[in-house]
Amino acid sequence: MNKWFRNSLNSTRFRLLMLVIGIVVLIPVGVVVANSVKNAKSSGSLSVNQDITKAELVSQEDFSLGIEQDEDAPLKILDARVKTISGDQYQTLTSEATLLQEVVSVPEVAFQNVSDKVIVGVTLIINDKEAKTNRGLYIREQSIAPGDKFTIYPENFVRVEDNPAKNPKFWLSVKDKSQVVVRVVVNFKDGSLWANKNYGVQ
Amino acid sequence: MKTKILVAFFVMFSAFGFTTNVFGCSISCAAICRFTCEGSAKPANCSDTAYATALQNCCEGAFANTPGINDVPCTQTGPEN
Repeated sequence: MNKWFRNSLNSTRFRLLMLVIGIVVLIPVGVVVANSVKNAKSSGSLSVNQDITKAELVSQEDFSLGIEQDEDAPLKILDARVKTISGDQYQTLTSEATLLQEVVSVPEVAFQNVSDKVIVGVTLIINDKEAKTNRGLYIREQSIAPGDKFTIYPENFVRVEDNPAKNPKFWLSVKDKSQVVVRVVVNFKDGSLWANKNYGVQ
Repeated sequence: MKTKILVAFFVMFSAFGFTTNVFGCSISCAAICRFTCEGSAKPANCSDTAYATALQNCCEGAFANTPGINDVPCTQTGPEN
C-alpha cells in the first residue's frame, strides 16, 4: 500500500489530478472571499465605516405613516413605516412603564434623490399633529448623488448597542399613530436648503 | 480609562442636551453619534425651515461640545445605489 502511494505521489498523472482538484476547490473559495469583500465595501457607502446593530423585537404590525411633501421635493419620501408592539412588550424591552396599549417605533424612512444636485444633509421631521410636537433627526456629512436611494433606519435614532429596541428613544411617545406624519428638509452641497412650502407651520 | 472618561462625558452631555432658539423655534437636542443628532420641539409651532435651521444649529453645538462624539460610531445608513 505504502509503495503504491509513494509511486502515485511521484507519478505525473497523480500530480495533475491533485492540481485539478486544488483548482476546483480553490475557485469557489475565491468567489466567496471576493463576494465578502464586495459586500463589505458596498455596505459602508459613507466615507467612514459604520457599525450595524439590528433591533431585536417582534412587531405586531408594520404601519405606514402619513407623508407630507411638495411636488418639487428633491429628496422624495418613498415609504415611511413604524413597528408596533404592546405596552407590555415595551415594558419588558425597556424596563420602563407606559400607559399606552400600543407603542410605535421611530420610523424607517426610504428616500430617493430625484434632484440634479448632491445632498449632504438630511433633516427628518416626525410631526405628531395631535400632541403638536416635532421630533427630528439631523444627519450630516452625507453624499447622496442624484438618483441615489437613502434610508433612515429606526436604529439611527439611538446609539450603537446590543439591542437598540431596549432604548426608550427607539420608540415614539404617541397616542394615535394615524396622527403622525413625516416631512424632510434637505441641505445641498452648494449650501442651499430646501423645505416644504405647502406643509407644516408657514 | 480614557474611553470610560469619554463615555461618561458623552452620557452627561447627552442627558443634559443642548438648546437653540431660531425664529422663535426652541429646540433641545443631543448628538447620537458622529453624524447623527436628534432634537425635539414642543409645541411644534415653527416652520420646517425654522425647525431644521434651529435643529442644525443646536446639533452643531452638540457635535462641537460633546467630548468624544467623533469617536462614537453610527448605525449604518447612507446612499444605496
